[in-house]
Parts: sequence; structure tokens; C-alpha cells
Amino acid sequence: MIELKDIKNCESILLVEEAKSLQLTINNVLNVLQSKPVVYISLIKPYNFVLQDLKKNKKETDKIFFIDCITELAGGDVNRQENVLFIREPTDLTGLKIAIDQSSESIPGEKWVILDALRVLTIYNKEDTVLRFVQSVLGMTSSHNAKIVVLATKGKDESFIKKASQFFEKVVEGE
Amino acid sequence: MSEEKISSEIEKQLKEKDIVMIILPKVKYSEKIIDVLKIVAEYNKSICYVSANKPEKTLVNLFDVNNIDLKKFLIIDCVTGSVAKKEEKNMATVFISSPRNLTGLSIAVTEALDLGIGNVFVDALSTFMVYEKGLVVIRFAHSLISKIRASSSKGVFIVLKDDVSSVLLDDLSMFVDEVVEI
Repeated sequence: MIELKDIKNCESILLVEEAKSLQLTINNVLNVLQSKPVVYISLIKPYNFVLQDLKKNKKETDKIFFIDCITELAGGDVNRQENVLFIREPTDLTGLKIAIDQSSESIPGEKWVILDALRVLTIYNKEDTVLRFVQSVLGMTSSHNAKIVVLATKGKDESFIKKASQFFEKVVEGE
Repeated sequence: MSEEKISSEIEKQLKEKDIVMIILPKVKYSEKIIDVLKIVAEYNKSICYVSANKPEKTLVNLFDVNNIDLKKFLIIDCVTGSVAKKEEKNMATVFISSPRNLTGLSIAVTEALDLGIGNVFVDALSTFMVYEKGLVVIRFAHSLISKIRASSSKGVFIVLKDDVSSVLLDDLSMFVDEVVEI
């Protein structure tokens, strides 16, 4: 289990966890950031399932803005809704970057951007493209006074994660 | 774990979770798949059975021998393919040209979900990896799981342990709600 005490203090943190423990870590990150403004980039599940899980666990969700990269791919309802922006699919990194830029700029003061999970981006895109995307997003969030938490899974992406690590202030690995 | 405990664990997860991946060893596959199917048939009114490794004819016999109610099933047969004769086709079967035709399969499952199918049962996801690259199958599985979620249905994905690398299993486990390994 990853120790999450640094999340609030680090400008950028990469959390590397076993795939099977990832959901638990995401829940714990959201617990730590409870009541803080969060931009949540949902790459694993449609956003309404993340929202549903949070509500089931009686967590506050008012300050979470979602960027959903899955619902449209799945043919779900993408009509304009409050607190969510839909991206066509995980290959649309330009659209995702614009959505992160707009949403983090529109939230005043300190805020956090959470990305679950980096592995989904490397499943859909070339590694070099994802690396450039990560570097660019980190620069963008920094300029908007946003802290960023990126979740990654152990295993296949080991060399990619080593390359991506250089961009983060802190890298924390689960045991 | 005893056979009884395994069955009750599978039953518990299939009842409680929306998307479950069941990892079976090849040696126990034939026996265990029937146990899992019986549980799925008991708790769901309608099931879309995606068969990547057995033709419709074999499935119908298998269901018959094991007293599984065929009327609950819509079969998507990826094996018989274009050699399916007209008389072999029945109302509840859709034939896909080949396990490589993931687009056709995705359309067929989407149509089944639009009909209000309660459960999509994929037997076996690992078989598609014989025909397509691992990442292509992972993307297909992610899309399928998301479609199932968006339709408020449930899904069971069978994976044969020896056919899939641990890396791909890790990827799949990220997308499902629960992994049961037998």
C-alpha cells in the first residue's frame, strides 16, 4: 500500500502500484484530497461509475470536476452535463490536454489534477507520444497553480515509467 | 481452496460485482466453465454468450447435457464463421466471420446490449490473443467492458491462465471489478 502523506505537498507525484491494488489507491488518494478542488481524468471507467463509487462510500463529490475519456468510446450518454467534459477516446491527447488546461484554469486557487491511469494511455498511444503529453501536462498544471497526481501500474511499463519519472517531483512505489 | 469454497467464491463475486474476470487453468477449464455458466444462468434473465472457442452446435449440446436453460442465451459464435449453414442458424445465434473480426463482434455485442441483455459472458478472452496482438485485445476488452458498464449490464470474462502473459492479466485486472483465480 502506498503512503500518501506527500500528496498535498508535492507539485507533482507519480504513484506506481500493482494493477490489482490500483482502485484502492485511487480511493485513498481521493480520501486524502477530500473537500479539495480536484480535476479527475477518468481513463479506466466511465466517470459516472467513479462518481457512483464515491457516493456509495459517502464521499463528498461537489468539488470534483471530471474529464471522461471512456463514455463516448463506449457509446454512452455524452450530452452536456455539469462537472464533466467528455473526450472522444484515450487517443485524443490534444483534446485531453485542452480539457485539462480549461478545467484547471477555471478553478480558482489551489487544486489537484488526478490521472487514472497512465497505463491506459500507453495501451492506446505510442510511448513517446505519451511521454511528450505527460511533460506538457506537467508544465501546464504548474502554470495554473495545480498539483498533479498520476497513477501508474507496475509491470509492462517499467522502462516507460523510468523515463516518465524524471518529470515528477516525487515517485512513490507500492510494495 | 476446496471445490465447494471456489464455487461459493465465484457465486459471491458474480452476484456482487458488475465485471468479473475468472482465470481458469487449462486442465480444469471444461469442468469449471459449466459450473460458472450454471451460476450465471441462475442469476441472470438474459445472457449474451460470446464463444471464441466452441461452435454453436457444441454449445447447444453442452447446455442440453448440463440442464442449462438455452432460452436465456443469445449466442455470438465466432468459430463457425462463414461455413455456417442456413439450417444450423437459429433465432438466438449471431455468427461472426472469425475471432479476428473484433469490430463485427463489438457491433454484435452492442446490439445485444441495446436489446437489454443483462449479462455478457466472454469465453474466452484469451482465445482472441491467438488471432490478434495482446494490446489490440486489451483495447477491445476495455471498450467492451465500458460498453457493458454504460448499459448497466454485467460481464463475465473467462481467461485461460496459460494463454495470457502476466502483463496482459495485469492490464485486464485494472479494468474489471474483481478477479477470481482458480
